Amino acid sequence: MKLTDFVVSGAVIPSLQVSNKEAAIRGMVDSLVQTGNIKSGDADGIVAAILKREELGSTGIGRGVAVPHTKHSSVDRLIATVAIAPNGVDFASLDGEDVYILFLLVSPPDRPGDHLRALENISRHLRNDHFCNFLRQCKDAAGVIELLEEADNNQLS
Amino acid sequence: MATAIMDSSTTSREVVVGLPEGFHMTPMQAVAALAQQFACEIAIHKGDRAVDAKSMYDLMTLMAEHGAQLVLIARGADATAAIQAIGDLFDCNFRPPA
Repeated sequence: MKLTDFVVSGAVIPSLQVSNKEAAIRGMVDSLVQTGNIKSGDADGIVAAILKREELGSTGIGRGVAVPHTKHSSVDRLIATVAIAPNGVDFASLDGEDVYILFLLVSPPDRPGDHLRALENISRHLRNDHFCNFLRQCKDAAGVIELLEEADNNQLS
Repeated sequence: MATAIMDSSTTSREVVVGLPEGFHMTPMQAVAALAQQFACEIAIHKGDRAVDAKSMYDLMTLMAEHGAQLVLIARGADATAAIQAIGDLFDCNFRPPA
């Protein structure tokens, strides 16, 4: 599984300007609505489910990264979007630091293996400081997608 | 990354992932938070791979689905208590005791 297999290229947000966690999640889900990957009528339920998951423990996993996610029956395959928040978002992260890179995942309830594989893929790349630094420097969505493709092809040292 | 070399301060225990959704982020966070309370090194082995139980980034790479067999290996002064505590989480399927 590659990042570009499940990250919806048209839904990437290169400069997310929000003041809190809920607004960040709402903005990312709305971007998946705009690309047609989530029906507008399902957006509120998906945002609520992601926020409920956050109550179990923040998905801000440290080093400026968060991976908000939920399962939802309205999707028939794992989809995700990426947002870069240049000013940071308070995500109640495990290390107490603001979040600058967000990967939001929505997966079908009956495909838990795909979800685990996506988490593996995301964390493997996000452990690479070069990947994180380049991601935060991206100026537009095309740059983000190009970087994801380079990561998929192991072109980052 | 911990070593699998066993000595007198090393304790290990096998566990099975009983969660239908596999070892996903919520139980990972429980393991990492608990592991960080111990001074010893704690590794979770799956096959020939080992990850640091105190690191979410490491745990997320484990890809342990329902039924996966894992080996917990701890090394250090409080290794026995650490393995007991983390093993118990898996044994009770991450449900808090009633």
